[in-house]
Amino acid sequence: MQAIEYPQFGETLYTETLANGLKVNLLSRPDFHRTYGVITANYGSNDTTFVPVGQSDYQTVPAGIAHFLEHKLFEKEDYDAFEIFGKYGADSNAFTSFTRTSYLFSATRNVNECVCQLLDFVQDPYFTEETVVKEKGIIGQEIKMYDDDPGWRLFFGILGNLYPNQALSVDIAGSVDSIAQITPADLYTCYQTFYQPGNMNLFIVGNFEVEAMLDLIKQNQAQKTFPAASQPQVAGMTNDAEVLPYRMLELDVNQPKVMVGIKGIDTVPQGREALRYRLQVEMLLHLLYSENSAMYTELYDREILDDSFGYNFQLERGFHLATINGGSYYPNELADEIIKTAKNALEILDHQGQEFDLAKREFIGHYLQALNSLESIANSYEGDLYDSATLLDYIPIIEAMTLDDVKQVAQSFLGPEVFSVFQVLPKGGQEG
Amino acid sequence: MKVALKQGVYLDITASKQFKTSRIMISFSRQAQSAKELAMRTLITSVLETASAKYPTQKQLADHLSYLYGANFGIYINRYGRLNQVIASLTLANDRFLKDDTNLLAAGLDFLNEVLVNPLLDEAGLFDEKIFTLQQKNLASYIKSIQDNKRSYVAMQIQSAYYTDVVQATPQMGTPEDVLALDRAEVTAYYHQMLAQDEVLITINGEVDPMQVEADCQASLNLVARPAQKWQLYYQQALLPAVIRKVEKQVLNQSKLDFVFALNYQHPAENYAAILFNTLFGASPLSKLFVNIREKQSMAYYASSSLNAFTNSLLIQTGIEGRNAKKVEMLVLEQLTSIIAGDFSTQELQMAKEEIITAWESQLDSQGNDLNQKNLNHFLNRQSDYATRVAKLQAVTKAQVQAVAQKARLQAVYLLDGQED
Repeated sequence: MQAIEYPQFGETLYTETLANGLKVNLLSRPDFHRTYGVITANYGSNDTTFVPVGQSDYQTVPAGIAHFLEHKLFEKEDYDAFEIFGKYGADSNAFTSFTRTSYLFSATRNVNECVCQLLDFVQDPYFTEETVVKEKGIIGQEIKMYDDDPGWRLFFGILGNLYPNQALSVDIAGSVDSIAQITPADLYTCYQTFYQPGNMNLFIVGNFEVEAMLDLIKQNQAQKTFPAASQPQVAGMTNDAEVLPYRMLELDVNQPKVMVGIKGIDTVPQGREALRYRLQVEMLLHLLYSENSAMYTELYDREILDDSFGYNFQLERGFHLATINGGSYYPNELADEIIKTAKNALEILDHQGQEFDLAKREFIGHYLQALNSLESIANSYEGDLYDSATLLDYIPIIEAMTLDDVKQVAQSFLGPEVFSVFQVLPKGGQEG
Repeated sequence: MKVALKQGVYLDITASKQFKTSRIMISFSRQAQSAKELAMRTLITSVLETASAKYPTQKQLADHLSYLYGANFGIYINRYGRLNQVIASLTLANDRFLKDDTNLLAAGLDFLNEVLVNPLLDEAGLFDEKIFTLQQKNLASYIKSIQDNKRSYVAMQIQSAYYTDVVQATPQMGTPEDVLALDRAEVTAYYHQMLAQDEVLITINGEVDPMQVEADCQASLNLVARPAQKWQLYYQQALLPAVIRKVEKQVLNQSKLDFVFALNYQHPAENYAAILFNTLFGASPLSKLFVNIREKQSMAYYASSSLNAFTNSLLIQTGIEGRNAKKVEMLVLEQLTSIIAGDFSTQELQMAKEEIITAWESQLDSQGNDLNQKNLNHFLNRQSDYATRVAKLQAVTKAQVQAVAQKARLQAVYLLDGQED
């Protein structure tokens, strides 16, 4: 077990990779009442084309299968994992993203039982024809609910523009048609390929004793046998400059919504450098688009944007992109201004010395605040993507950041100018 | 530690090393008398949050927050039954984790005083016209945009159909129409009244010296004494003569079917039985609604209940296929009947208790929740001792839960039908 000390924050992270390949991170918070545990498979909705374990050719499975599997893993032959956690007085849940599937619990008592239950239900798949059919109804409803959400449609609209015909542009839950094709055999194939201990990590943070916890986990894993490890092979993405520059969708909304997407086609460095890259791009976007920025102030006063304006940077395994979006009665003007600002980034950054110093203080405070949240600490762990970095590693990177770093990342990320616009407009036209 | 800084201005400090931050919450409270007052209070939060005399532009204000190490700041409204609150909240990094020598908490109190007490006014003493007009427009547009979320839209619609009292029937932020009709002079006047007369409660949690913080509050916050008030948060409505039924059609992929039940249980004697009834009925993944309607019947993506103790009512929300509306209504009523009939085991009751206790315990890990709890305790004039709450919850019997369920009366049903004709 390796102990990593963070004297600046009074924290110690314990980490160990078990014999079966499962990576374990433990952060004890004795002042807290709760313990939060999350086990994550390095597998998400984007991983639909891969070489199944024990085979040699790529195979494509129906869209939405990672999320479907997440739902089905809770249900067993003679019990439901939800209910077991309920008996322990614990909450449990799960979520699927493009590149990760995570299962979690939160408990204030029976923590040992919860940890074992988390490992047991995730490591014991049970899929049958009957239970798979039933789940299609529930997930079908979930898909329909998201279809009515304008923000969701906007986001998947821009993904469709940036990554046409790629798995990334499909809803994480798939479509009613795609999930109709899912079979128990498909679920087992995906499970066996991606839910190997070596492709997973367990993060526990909260009120527990570290050594006893690690012993418990080891004992639990020692009771199980796993097939020989094999590294999952997933078809890579095409990150070229090919995008659809503009599309729109009419929905029942009061105010038009616009999203500009910036596709990253530059090469992101590996490991900790990837985290540094991410924080630099976040800083860049903050200087260009935050409430403190010149663009925001000007467009707010001109009523081209309002408080719904925001931006996000996503860096995951295989892709990275920025989205800048807001509600606006002048959606074309807003899109033009966002793109103009991105194109002028270097010029803008030349005058941002003072803003940069303020922004660094803001980022430090922001990530310090995030350390209050057990969920933030555990959920932000990205495994190999950032070479096992945790939230505790962010602040030193920010402290060391210079404005020149931000200028360099601006050249790398924004330089190729791969922009696209998606709008959600009210049905039957709009004022303005 | 709770003290009166002045009459009508109270300070409640919790010294704790649990968090990496300190958090301050200042609430201004009164009982709103009209829907228009709700709109005024919400607009005031937007105007105050945007700029102040010392930070006259949004950028200057945002830059100062960055300078305070990304202090997390917001002003918003809150409602507990008949109580209407304007709340300013500020979260600050703990000095101990920062590399320069600073007293962020004192700087934060100064900042809050600036935005709350010294707003940006014009020569006539009114809220700055440009900011007022723009915030008025933006707020109206924001309230309208909430309707884009169909789940909250239906919840708002059914509550305005159910409540006979206009303040309860109005969404807590007010309506877009009321916001747009407000006049700058009357809102400024109302703000001054709020500042001078609303009861003020300052709650703080962090690694602080309470004596020092009390002195800092006295020095920083320029708030006058005001009459002390007695609070009655609970709103009780007579049963409606007939169930209100509304159907609205929109083109949607998923329909929504909501219900309101009046409960009319006794405060405080049946409080804990009511919480358990809600948990067993629809507020938990182990509840009747979730297990039977979503999991067993696959009739809904969500089916849940929420208890409003202050209005003694229960809201049920479901997301369904429109054509199943009748069946879902029947199933919801069946679940209620089964609780009345005692169709739940003592083990299930115990699990519900454990779930609630875990939720309470988990709240002890949130600085924001601690302040919210102190805020609520103050207005309910109670000491909320965690151990006492647990003991009271554990003492609830199956028969007591059935008795609360027995009192539930269906009052309103709202269907947002997404089916194409």
